[in-house]
Amino acid sequence: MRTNNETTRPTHPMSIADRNPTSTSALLRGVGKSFISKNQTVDALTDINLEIGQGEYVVIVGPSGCGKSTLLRCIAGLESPTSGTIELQGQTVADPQHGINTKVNKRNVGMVFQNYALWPHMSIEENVAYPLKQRGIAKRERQKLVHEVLSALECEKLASRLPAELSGGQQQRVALARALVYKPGILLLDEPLSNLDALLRVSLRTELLRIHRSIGYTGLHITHDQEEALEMGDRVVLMREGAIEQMGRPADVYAHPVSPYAARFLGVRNRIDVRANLGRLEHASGIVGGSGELLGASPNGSEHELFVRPRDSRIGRGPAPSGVGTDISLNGTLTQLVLGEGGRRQYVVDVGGNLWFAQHADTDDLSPGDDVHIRVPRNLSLLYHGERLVRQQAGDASKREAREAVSTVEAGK
Amino acid sequence: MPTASTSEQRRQHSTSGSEDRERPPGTENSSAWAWVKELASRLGTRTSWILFVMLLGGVVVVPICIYFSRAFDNGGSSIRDMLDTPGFAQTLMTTLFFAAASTFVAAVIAVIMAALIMRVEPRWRGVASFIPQLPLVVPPLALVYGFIFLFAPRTGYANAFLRGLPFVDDNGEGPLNIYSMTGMVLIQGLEAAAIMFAMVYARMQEISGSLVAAARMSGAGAFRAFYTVTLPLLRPALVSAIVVAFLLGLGSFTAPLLLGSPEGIHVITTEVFRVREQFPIDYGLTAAFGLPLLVVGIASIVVQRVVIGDQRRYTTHSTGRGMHTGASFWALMAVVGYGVVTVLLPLLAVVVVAFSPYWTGDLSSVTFTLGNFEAVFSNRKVPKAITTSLVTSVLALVIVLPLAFISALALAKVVKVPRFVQVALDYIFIAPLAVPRAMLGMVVLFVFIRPPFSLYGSLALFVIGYAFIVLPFSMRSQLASLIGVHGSLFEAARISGASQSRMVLDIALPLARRGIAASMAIGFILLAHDFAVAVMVRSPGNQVMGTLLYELGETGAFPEIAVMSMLITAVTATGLAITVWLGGRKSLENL
Repeated sequence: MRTNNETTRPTHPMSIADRNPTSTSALLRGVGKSFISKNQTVDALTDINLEIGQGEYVVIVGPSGCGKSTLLRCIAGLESPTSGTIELQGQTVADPQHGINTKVNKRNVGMVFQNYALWPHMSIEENVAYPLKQRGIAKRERQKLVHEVLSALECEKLASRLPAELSGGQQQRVALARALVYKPGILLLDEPLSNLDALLRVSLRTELLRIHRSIGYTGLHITHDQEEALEMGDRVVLMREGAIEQMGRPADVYAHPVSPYAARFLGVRNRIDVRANLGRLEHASGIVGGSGELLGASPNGSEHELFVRPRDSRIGRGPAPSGVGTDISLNGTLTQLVLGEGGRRQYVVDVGGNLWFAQHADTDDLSPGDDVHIRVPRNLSLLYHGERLVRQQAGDASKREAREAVSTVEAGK
Repeated sequence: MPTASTSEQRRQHSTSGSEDRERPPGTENSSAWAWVKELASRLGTRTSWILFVMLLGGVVVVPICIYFSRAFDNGGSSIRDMLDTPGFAQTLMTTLFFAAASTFVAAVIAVIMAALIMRVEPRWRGVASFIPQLPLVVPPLALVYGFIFLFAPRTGYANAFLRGLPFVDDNGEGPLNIYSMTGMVLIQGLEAAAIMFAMVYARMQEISGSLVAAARMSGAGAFRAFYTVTLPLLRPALVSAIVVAFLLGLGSFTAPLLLGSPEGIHVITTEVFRVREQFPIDYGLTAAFGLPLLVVGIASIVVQRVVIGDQRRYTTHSTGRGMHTGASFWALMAVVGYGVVTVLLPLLAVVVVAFSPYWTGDLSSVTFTLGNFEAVFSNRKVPKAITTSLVTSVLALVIVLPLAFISALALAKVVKVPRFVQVALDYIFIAPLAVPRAMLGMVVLFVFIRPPFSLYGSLALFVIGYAFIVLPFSMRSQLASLIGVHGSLFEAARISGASQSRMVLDIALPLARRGIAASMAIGFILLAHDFAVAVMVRSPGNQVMGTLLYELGETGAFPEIAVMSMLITAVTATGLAITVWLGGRKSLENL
């Protein structure tokens, strides 16, 4: 099941997608894992339901401790779930209730570790050939396969070197080669980019994507970096304290984080407490202009949180003009001008005691201390009541899907 | 995992065998290995480990218990005998005093050395840090005799030299007498200082870096920084080292035997030896004597464990580079001077005596002769003793290293084992440490000369005794090197399709190489050092180098004693050099 834009099937010799393109690669049902630590039960995973289609690239994202690593390791067999079932390519590999627990080395999964885990005493060639040796593949065939995968990843020249002689990016490619050489049913990537410096990380993201598109393996990638997740995944799964908080396509998840937690994690940086009053939203020291339609059916007096992205925020001089059409607006005071990422200016505005960031301005001629207002398109504003996203009037059915915790395999489009 | 019937397991095993072809052609050397694997897969991993632990425990812990329980036979009659032994209270007091005093001396030396070495230029620091540890490498017998040659009251060379000095009385004797409690304490202190230094220095290097730099930048002088920052942080290591030194002092045998006994200064270990030399051996009595030592040994290990915790907490990372402290040339000189006085001079004395026809203590009339060498080398017992030493040491290592490796795998959690197996292995490997060497010899003698072993008169006694000595250290260094390997390396092998045993052979074993080499080095040193165990288990016609030297000592043929001492030192040094060459220079750092 591929949801990327390619219409032609790759004819790459390493291509895995040739195998049974419509089948499910991994299926998790009600997977839970708890263990006892210091006389307390800790639930590392709770009721995880996830289906990964062949050729799909799923990214699981969340802060440390959310359970994403545990989930990956349960799929790999390095840890055993305490409840639920895990199926790989139609075979049940874990089912604690029925005593099924296929050994790690029999699950035919590939894994790229955060620290690459290349064996220092073996050459690159030997590292990559190792899984084939375990499968009893004859030497000549082994060499061919190793050569194939190394060239697919542009590392043939490194074949006789030792891991210690390679750079971080090279090691990562070799780790990938070793995991792919035996064409595993699913490739697990454990924060593969976290060990690299920022620049390399960004360029390798694109690399990984390109490799996935040309080879077509099924990938499950975990990371704590939401930008990485949104850029790389066919589907993004946000985890929170052992459970799935939200799942969907990157664009959907990005546009409609399902809860304040999701909003915070996905980089929606500006936030303010508001209350519905007399048909509009008010905050501690002012009103949110143009917020009437945002309210929807929220009762008078109800408390909400308003989240907005800096890149959707534009500031202008003075208080907000009335009748701003499709925008909402808040008044505040400019406190700082900073240089943000990519060299763009970021405006730091004090809005009722909260610091808000805006990336656009009507005019360059603003200085700290000026009275300003922030405008944000209404359809890009996120209003939450408790844990729920308040739907706007024009909400469509497809957006509601993003709130479901149980995934559905999306029909091919 | 459901327990399959044996036939199903066998079927699974055989089909997987043909599919996996796990062992590449050419390595079918170990049908024994295949047999073990087959057995292990039949029994299941859990049972195999339990059996392993029981076997090891049975061989290591059970003999110790059997031996010491003899003290309680007949309602503790041996204990009564011990208490009735004339001078027992005195002996006990002497032992305690000796242990405490030597520990104190050792602590002072170790800390001063550590502080001095931190002031040595970084360039020389590596070499300099080796100097206080030299006594570890030189066989104690050689060292003690060297000091005897220097400080014997009448004929000691150093004494002769001192008497020649203007302000010293010359009445044919003294001024210093090695055959005294002071002499014993100092020599033992030197040995213990070497070990204490090793333990303290390693820790000191870890904490020295940025912490001391911060103190210095805040305005503290060098001494103050040391006193207020380094020393307090050293406390756990220091406490640990003090406990080790005290235990060593309690169980010390060589120095008390050679220096104390002739003057009527007795400690528990020499009393045990005295009883052992009588026929028939009253094992109960020796066990009773050893009881206080055992109790203190166990208590200190338990206390250490509780206070400091197990080794797994100490995978440390360096705290960054410290400041370049003003290097002091005099610090280097002081350290070198220490090395000269404590190691070089005694060895020189040995060399001088080896080449002299008689040991007269007269520096002015030193004549050189090779006659002593001829006498020693023409003695048939000598090459036999050397071979015996080497063969038994190697055999002991060959037995212990794989056992230690397997156990290290379990304790480092490279392979999954039930928790109680881990705990059991932990204690099995620490048990021999609680027992002083001299008593370990008695344990081996007592248990293994009677049926079903009946090993009296056999070299196997040496091998078993040596295995006991080496066991704890061998495991510790292998554990240290395995812990240092990131778990993901083993997991990656499993995910790539390797079975547990393949993962161990292909990944764990090669990566543990440094630890294995270190254990070989330690093993060699310990075994070359040993005198206490060997002298207890020896029998007529079965000699190792140490016991041969002791017999020569009884005859008073000092020049030949000197030659033998040189020989032992040479053999030890060669063995050590080979081990280091095999394992790389780094293997010594792991000690």
